[in-house]
Amino acid sequence: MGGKDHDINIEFLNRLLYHREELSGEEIESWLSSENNRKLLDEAAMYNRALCSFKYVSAKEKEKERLRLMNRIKSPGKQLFRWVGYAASILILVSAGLVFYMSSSDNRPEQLSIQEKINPGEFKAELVLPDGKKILLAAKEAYVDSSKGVVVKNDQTNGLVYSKNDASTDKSEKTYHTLKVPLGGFYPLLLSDGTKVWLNAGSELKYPVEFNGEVRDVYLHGEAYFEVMKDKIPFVVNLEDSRIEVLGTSFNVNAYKGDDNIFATLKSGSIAFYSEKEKIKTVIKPGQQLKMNANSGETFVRDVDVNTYTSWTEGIFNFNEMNLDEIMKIIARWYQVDVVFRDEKIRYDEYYGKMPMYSDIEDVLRKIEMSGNVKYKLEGKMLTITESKNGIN
Amino acid sequence: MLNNPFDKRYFEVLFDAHFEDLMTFVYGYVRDNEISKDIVHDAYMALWNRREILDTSLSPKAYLYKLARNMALNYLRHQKVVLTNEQSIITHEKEVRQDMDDYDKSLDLLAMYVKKLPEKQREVINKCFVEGKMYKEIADDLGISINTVKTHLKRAILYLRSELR
Repeated sequence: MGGKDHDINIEFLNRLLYHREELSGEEIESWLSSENNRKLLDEAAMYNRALCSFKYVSAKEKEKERLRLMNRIKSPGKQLFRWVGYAASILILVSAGLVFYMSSSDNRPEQLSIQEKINPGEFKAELVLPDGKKILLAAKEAYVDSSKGVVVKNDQTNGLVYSKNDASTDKSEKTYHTLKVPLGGFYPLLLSDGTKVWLNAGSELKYPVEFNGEVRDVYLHGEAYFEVMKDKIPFVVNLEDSRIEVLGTSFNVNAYKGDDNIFATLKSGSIAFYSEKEKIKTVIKPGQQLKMNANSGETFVRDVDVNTYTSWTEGIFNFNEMNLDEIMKIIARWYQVDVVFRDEKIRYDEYYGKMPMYSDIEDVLRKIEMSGNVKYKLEGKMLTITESKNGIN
Repeated sequence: MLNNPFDKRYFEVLFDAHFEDLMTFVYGYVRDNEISKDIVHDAYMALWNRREILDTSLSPKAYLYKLARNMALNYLRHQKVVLTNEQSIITHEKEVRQDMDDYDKSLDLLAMYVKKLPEKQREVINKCFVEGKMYKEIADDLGISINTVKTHLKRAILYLRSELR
């Protein structure tokens, strides 16, 4: 690269950034038409942000901006662009951006190999048939089976779908399928009675291909959100040492093997929770969460914000009122990392915040770091959480 | 990724997750807080208006950064001139740039490498990129010649470039 050109460009760059009024449109256009110059501008933008004694946007400003934005999307049709030419260019820019992004990721193989890339979870699961045969499911593939009067389809929007074929009334023995979602996975499922289930990472659900008899029974390990189709026949979610009975309702169950507690959170309708060790039945109402101690079988009920426990079905991490211990369990399952707490006392600090679940793991961890008294260190798949020494508390 | 609905709730989560970082990003290009707000606002609006037809291979975050950078570049141009040649905007975007998903990480790295620079180089870099001073002003401030300013700048930039590769 020519040293001379380089010098001139930096001087021009600062005139562009701070004294634009001195420059003619042609000068600007011609300078920006060079790829090297645009690269220099990108660098300058980055240097400025990296070196500037960092000024965060205040929470008040952010709220103002949020309101302005949310108000605007309520009234479609009003598109006021502040700079001439915006509206016309945006359409093109977005599609051009696509090309640009894809080619840029193709051209960076060396960056990826430096550290093992940690990916967020994705749409994937394994279906286990009665004969032990396993079928890998991803959003695009279509597994179709229509034996025994039930059609089984797999598609991109609904996940795995079981639909009853009315012509057949097979009252013979029930056949069960098992849907296993690995760590770093997520899968929706529509059962033959119309009940919708979302299975979260590291979970499995066993269910009959067709429901018949006196009970609609399913067996869960892990986390699932149910929207149960109303019916006279009770729907029963069997868990370890407990079960949940409902008629028609929406609720989230979190019952991972090895966790200290099982949680059932009710969005609508009502559910009856049976703890087998304690031999008690507890009925909870919408907005309530039942917690059962996995060892003793003891149950507790409290009021919660239900959205916190169901937004994962919409691709949103919602950490409101969750403690770091719960948050890290979610992160470990979604990003397939191992979490180690160096300092125990931070484990039960509560956090607030939402993040899209497609986020890079480091973005999520940085947000947590910024809002709490913790520091994280990510080495390969090992995530270490320590107390931050320069914290205020 | 997940077949979640791109609704207002989701949009608000995207706002919460990326607003501050986008402000930071855009400020680097336009050096004005109010303009940055407007650009970030417009980038979100453009994302919202395209929500039905988003390509799922690209994260909303990457969309937002691309839109915001394009808008910032346009702002730099439109201050003086209304660009009518759409073709030139497209060609501008074909260049290969660093992946936006790594932007925040790169900022941290950069700040770290700048600390490793010799003191004079660091001062020159600061005056040039943070304070936006011209060579002459930097030379006067530090009591060195314009040529020395240029040499410091060039060395510092080449070093930082090589470290950030």
